[in-house]
Amino acid sequence: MSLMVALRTALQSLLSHQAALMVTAHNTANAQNPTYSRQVARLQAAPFPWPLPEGGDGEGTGVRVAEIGRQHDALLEALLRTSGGQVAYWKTLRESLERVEEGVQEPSAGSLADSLTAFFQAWRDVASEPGNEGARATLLEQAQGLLEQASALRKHLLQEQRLVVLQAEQEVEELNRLLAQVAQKNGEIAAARAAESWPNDGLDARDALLRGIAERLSIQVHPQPNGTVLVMAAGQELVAGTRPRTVRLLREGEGALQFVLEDTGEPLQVGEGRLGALMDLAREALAEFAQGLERWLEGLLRTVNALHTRGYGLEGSTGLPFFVQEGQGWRVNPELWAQPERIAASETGAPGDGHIAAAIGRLAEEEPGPLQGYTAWVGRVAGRVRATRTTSEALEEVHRSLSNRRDAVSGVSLDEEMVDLMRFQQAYNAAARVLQAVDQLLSTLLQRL
Amino acid sequence: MRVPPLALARQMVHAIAVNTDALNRTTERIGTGRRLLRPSEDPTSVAQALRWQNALALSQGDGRRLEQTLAFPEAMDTLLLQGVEVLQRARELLLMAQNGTLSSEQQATLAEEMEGLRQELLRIANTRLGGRSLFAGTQVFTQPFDEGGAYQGSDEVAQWEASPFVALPLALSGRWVFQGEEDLFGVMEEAQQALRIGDASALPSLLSRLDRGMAHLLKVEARLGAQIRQGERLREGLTQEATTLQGRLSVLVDADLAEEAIAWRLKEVALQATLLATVRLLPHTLVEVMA
Repeated sequence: MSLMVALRTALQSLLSHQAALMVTAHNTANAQNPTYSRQVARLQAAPFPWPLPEGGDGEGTGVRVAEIGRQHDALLEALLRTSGGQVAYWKTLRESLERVEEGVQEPSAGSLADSLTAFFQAWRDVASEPGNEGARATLLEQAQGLLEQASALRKHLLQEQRLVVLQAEQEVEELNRLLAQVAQKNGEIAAARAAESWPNDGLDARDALLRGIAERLSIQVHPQPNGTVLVMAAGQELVAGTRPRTVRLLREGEGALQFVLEDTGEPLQVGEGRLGALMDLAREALAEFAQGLERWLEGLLRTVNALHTRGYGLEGSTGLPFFVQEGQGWRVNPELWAQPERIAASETGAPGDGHIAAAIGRLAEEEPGPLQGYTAWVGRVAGRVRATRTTSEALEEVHRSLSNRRDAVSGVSLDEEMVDLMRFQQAYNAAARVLQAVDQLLSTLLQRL
Repeated sequence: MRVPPLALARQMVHAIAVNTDALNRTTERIGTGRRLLRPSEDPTSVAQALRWQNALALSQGDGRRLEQTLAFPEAMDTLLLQGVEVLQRARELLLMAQNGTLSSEQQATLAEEMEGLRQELLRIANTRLGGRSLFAGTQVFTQPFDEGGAYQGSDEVAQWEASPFVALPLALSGRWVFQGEEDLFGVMEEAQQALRIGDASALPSLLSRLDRGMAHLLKVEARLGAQIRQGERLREGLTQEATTLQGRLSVLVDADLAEEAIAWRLKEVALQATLLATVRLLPHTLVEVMA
């Protein structure tokens, strides 16, 4: 080997270890970046150029950086996407249902159950003193209070339904942005591959974008030979190469949601993820709660009305309903507000008779009765929230564990980087020392000449 | 296994969040004194609590109503006893007249007194409490008897069913009370006339009719007394029931402060330990050693 080759070998080593030090510096800088995958400079012995020059003996010519790769596990990444979608699905359900639960406020003073009891108490007061004007006025107030509480709860549910639609609109917007960004990254990665460079940071960024998409709907990711990925959702292409498709939100009657592909109008199978949760909330949970509450209230008011219309007021009036429907809601019959003596407490028409009032008052203890109906409704809401919370927590635990495993593979350990820093620094120093030695050899030769 | 600082930090942040949340919930329980803060914490207990809460409110309400309503039978009872006294005096007058030694003037005085007693009995029968007649049946706003003793009320008893087994009368039928066995106003009217004209022969039959009427009044009074006692027993029962329900409800909804205070301390220690571990563990890398 000539001294010139030795000089080149030392230079190669200097450059390669400098590059390795740069990778270590990049890793250290990204130690706290959650989407970053640790990069590794793979060093390879540089062979003597072929064919061997005259007098050459096939010895190596130093080291070179063969590749700067990522520490990455594709299977773990796919698992993380799936589990991220599940966590997002259950978390979205849970957050919405917990908001619904906040409006229920049971058991506490001033709750709907409390108002319901107070309403029946007022009827019992009228039954015990049918002629008492004060008891009648109190009854009207309590009935109004009950309706207001029920209406507030209904509004709370309606507001949550509106919130779900709003969230769905925002999520679709975000999904379209992510799909476009994946297509853009696909283009950048394919170009980098063609130029034979290593687009590691681009791959990390695309993985993060794909995780973002998977949080919104279930996707399958198929890597292509040119470095791009094909993103599919239940057999429908979302991103192919650099072409993204757009998703649109359609609102169907009664607050139901539907997601379609903008270009073909085909419905999109969203599977799990936030979009699936919002669809299920709008179609099932929230609609079911709202209808359940509506049915319960209507049942109660109609039962009271059926008894009340049979009875007589103090002045002999009969056939009056206690509650009347007004648009979508209910209110206490305005005729009774004007003349509380028309409240039909009596079964016979005699002013001292309170049998109708007593019969309505007894509904409080009836089984199955209005209170049981309401309790069952609260139980359904509470049970659903609890079950959702439990599932959500369990899945979050799984996701956390998967994230830790991903970090164990791809995360940056500062200790490792520090060791690498020392290793490459020493190698760099050693290469410099070789350079110095060759330089001395050459100087010796030159001085003798 | 490689444990990069990022994974360590995630674990630590999660542990801190879990401990802080647990501490926060315990603090909320101590602050509000409530065990159940949201229905989803224990759906079964919440459903049960709503039942007890309703039962407790009804029981307390029934107790209060009973207290107010008992005033009616109690007033009727007092009035009936007054009525019996009036009748006893009327009986004495008839007995005095019967022995035949009275002058016509004295008989006229007795007749006057008899009329006074009849008026007194009418006043008793027409008594109102809280604006409602006590002896007009369900026609509580009607005056039961007119001057002549004709009944204008209802024959139906106005009553409140305090429980499926106890019905408290709020107003009795005056016809049944004062004219059920004998028309007491009629008997007293006839007695007054007999005394006025000195018809001694009518007196024995009037006396026995008066006796029958008085016996009926006493029977009504005894029955009323029994109903009042029933009501009082129910009131005591309701008070006891309310105490029991309060206890049951308290177990379900109220926080056990001693237990929560200990839990709070334990959770605080856990949080402090996590924070300490985080502070001690996270900065440990080769960077410091190298520095």
